[in-house]
Amino acid sequence: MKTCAYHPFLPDYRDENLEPALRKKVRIHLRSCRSCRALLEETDAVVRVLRSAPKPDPGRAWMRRYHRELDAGLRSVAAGEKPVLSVFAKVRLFLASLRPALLAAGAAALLIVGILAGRFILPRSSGVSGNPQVLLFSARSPSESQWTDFLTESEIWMLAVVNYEPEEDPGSAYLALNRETAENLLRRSLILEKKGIEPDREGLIRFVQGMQMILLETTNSDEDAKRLVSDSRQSILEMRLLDRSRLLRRIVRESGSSGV
Amino acid sequence: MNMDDGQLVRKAKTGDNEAFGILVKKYRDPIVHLAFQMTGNWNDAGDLAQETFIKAFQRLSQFREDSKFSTWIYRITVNLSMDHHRRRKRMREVPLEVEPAGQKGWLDRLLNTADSNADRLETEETNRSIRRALNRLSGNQRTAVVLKYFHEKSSLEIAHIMGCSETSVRTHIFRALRNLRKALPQSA
Repeated sequence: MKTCAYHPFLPDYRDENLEPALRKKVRIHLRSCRSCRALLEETDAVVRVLRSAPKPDPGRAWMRRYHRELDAGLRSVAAGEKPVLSVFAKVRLFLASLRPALLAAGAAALLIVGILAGRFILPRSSGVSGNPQVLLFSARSPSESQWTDFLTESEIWMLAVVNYEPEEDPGSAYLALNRETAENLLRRSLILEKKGIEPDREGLIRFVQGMQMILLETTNSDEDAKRLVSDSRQSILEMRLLDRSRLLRRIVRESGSSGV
Repeated sequence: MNMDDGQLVRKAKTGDNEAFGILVKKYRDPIVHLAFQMTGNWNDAGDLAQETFIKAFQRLSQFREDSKFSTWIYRITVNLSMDHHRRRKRMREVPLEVEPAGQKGWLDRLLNTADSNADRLETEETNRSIRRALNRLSGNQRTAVVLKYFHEKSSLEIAHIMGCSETSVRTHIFRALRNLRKALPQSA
């Protein structure tokens, strides 16, 4: 399509946002310019799609928390205190100071920790229902550190999946995805679902559902590990499970074990 | 208390925090939506919105009132979002966006089975493809399109918010729509 000097005016012409004299000029030009007529039609189609999109909605719980945090932040500024940065803002500022090479090193370190966690740190399971450590965890109110441990383990596992490059390191993600680790996380997530977190129950349930689905598939499937990793990665990214887990970790830390 | 933005700003400038609070209540939702549309992440959007209002509060005395308060506060958000975008680019963070290629994952299908609803799925798919298409635009093109079509701002207002001429805004929008046309199969 040839570029015409009138092209940039067409979106405003379509929305009737041009001043009358200019609008008249464009209207007359359109009669003789095929390129502009075609572009006007295309503009109309794109704008219709854009305007058909519903307003993004993070959910009522998120909005309430956002209003609360905004209020608190402004109050502290008005009182002359230094505004309290959220954990996300602090992490962002910290990460901003790091170079990509350091980030890559960090990801590699997390991967190694994930593999070690899967092999040595996590309690060994001995069948579907018989792990005493897990039963103990469910019998009393989980402590802040237990919640944090679970969420951290999940994040390490998810990061390993997200960062998995089969060509570079064919064995690593499979190691992180071993059956034992998956079963352990699955059982813990089932317990967490019963407990729930009051400040963000909806978020927790969705998070746990996502984890369960991924882990169930991982534990039950004998399918090709590469495809499984790819599916899990897609799910983690689509459901923003890493974000959810980090958010929950913040809630746990802020509310302490008593608020959970 | 039924006051317009100008009156509220003048009161806030004299130290009336209640007046500033009314302005915050009025703009907190559009601002967080704008921040989300610019960053694609609610947590970042919440942080940016908070930073916007804190900046506005601290710099209110410097606001000369030669533009509307809404223009001024949108401008702060846009500038912060652009800085954020540049930082992210430098950091090359792990992308948390939906991967552009590929079909819906098995998990999504599973979770949607319970309350499967064709319209809802279609809307979600449209939203996702719009988000992906917007992410491919340059910062200026995305800002102009978001302000025009999601916040219903005129080209002149967008020019004030972005600190450029109306002609530049029209060019950004024209180019953005041309790029979106290629990226949005629904518009074909």
